Amino acid sequence: MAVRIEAFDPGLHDTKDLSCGSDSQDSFLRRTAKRQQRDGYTRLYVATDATQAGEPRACLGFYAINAHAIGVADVPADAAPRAPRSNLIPGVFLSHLAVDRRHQGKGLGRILLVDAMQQCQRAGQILGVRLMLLDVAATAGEAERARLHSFYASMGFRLLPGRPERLLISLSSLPPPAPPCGRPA
Amino acid sequence: MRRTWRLCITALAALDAETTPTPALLEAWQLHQDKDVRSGSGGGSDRSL
Repeated sequence: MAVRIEAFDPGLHDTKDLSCGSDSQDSFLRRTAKRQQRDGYTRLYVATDATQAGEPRACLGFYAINAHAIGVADVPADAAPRAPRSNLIPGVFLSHLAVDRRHQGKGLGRILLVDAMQQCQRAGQILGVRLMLLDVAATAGEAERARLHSFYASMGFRLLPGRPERLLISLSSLPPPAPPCGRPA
Repeated sequence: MRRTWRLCITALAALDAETTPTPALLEAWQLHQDKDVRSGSGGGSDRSL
């Protein structure tokens, strides 16, 4: 299936049929995301079927990111070498990442995560961004949390000491960023 | 000489896990890159799974 990932537009994207198996994720997308994006608290990106004709476009998955800062003392020393005097490390927080049940198990989650990482890299080209952080849902069961930890660990994330739900990755551990939009590689 | 330097740099990078992408990340990154068609507007992109 050809998938397109694009900035969420409430007038263009249909979210009502998306069901991720997590009430909090579904509720966020349907009820909260539009307002939070309008008010500048988050930026949402959705995956759609690139072959779907007409509008609105059904969402197959999504992620949400926002600016974040974390104290130097809260991260492992090697995650913040030569930290600034402000004692705050700039980062991007991945607040949501979910895939519709009908499209789970096809690698779409990894594609969305890579897309989110590359958005962080693009942000890092115009302002300081050192880390990407996320929380594994506290509402998830033990088995689901273990699965999520394993998924993110395989992508290079590691646990934040003293915060078992929080994971981080340094942008310096990512491959080179994709070329800017609209420019050839 | 140049090859020796390259080997040294590669070895140092391998010692620093912080700067070494995982195989799964590299694979997903490559998939994303291979299928990527940037729209040039709004950061959109197309990919085939």
